[in-house]
Amino acid sequence: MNRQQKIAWFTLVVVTLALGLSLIAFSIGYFIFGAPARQAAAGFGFIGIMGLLGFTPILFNKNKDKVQADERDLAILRKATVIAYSIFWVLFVAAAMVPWFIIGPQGTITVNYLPWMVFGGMTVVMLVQSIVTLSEYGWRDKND
Amino acid sequence: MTKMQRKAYIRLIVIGVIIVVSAVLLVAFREKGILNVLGGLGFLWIFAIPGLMGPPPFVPFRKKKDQIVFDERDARILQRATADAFGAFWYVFPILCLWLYLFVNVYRTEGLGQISSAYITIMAGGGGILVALVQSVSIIIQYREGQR
Repeated sequence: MNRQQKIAWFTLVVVTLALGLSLIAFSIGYFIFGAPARQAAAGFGFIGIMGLLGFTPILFNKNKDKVQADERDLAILRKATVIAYSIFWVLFVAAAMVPWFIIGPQGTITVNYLPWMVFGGMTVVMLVQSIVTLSEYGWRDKND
Repeated sequence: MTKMQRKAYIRLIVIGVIIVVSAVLLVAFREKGILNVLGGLGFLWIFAIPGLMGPPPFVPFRKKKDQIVFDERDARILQRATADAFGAFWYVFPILCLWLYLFVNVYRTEGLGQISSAYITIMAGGGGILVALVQSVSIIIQYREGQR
């Protein structure tokens, strides 16, 4: 398994774990304890687990004696990036237009919506990029 | 000049027109408020549709018979330009969002914690223009580098 595959797996696991735990915590707070949605949203604090992705360069450091990336690796990386951003773009435009359509141009929304757009966008990009990378290389170790 | 280069130049011209007209109108009608002035800019999307999405499939980009208009090199250039464009977008987008978040929560005294839904729509439009602008510039630069 090469470095890009390992990074993609690590990203996928961390993002899925952060999202999964957040949704579970939110559901427990909202459905089991009957907390208001605003309070139950504190469960999304588990998103902080995604901070582990900052350790990627340390965990998967570059081996100086090996070729880091050839043309095929770069092509895969570019393809994964373009697909991730294409999906992000559709969601971003939808997220920007939906409040306008629902509450109208004179309406106002909470400013908390903006950081949610940033973190949601980042999550989508990382998730899609790792899925595409793994599907291009293969999900398992092929010893290449 | 390839088809993609011509498209990139046309986009740059269209974006230039949008930015200049917007700036002139914003300055001329500043007392009416940003949102009202930008609302009047709706007609600019007439330029933006062919400019950003690509021109309609007739003159001046009609494909000649037996002519290859898009090869592997073009695909690579387009992919890299798209990655550059979204890279630039991701520098601006989080900074803008977090700045607006702080600005609205800290400095505004009326309607604390609320922003007009129109600002988010404008943000999407601005994001689209930024992506198209960086993509076009990147395409032009890559072809120029290739010619050397």
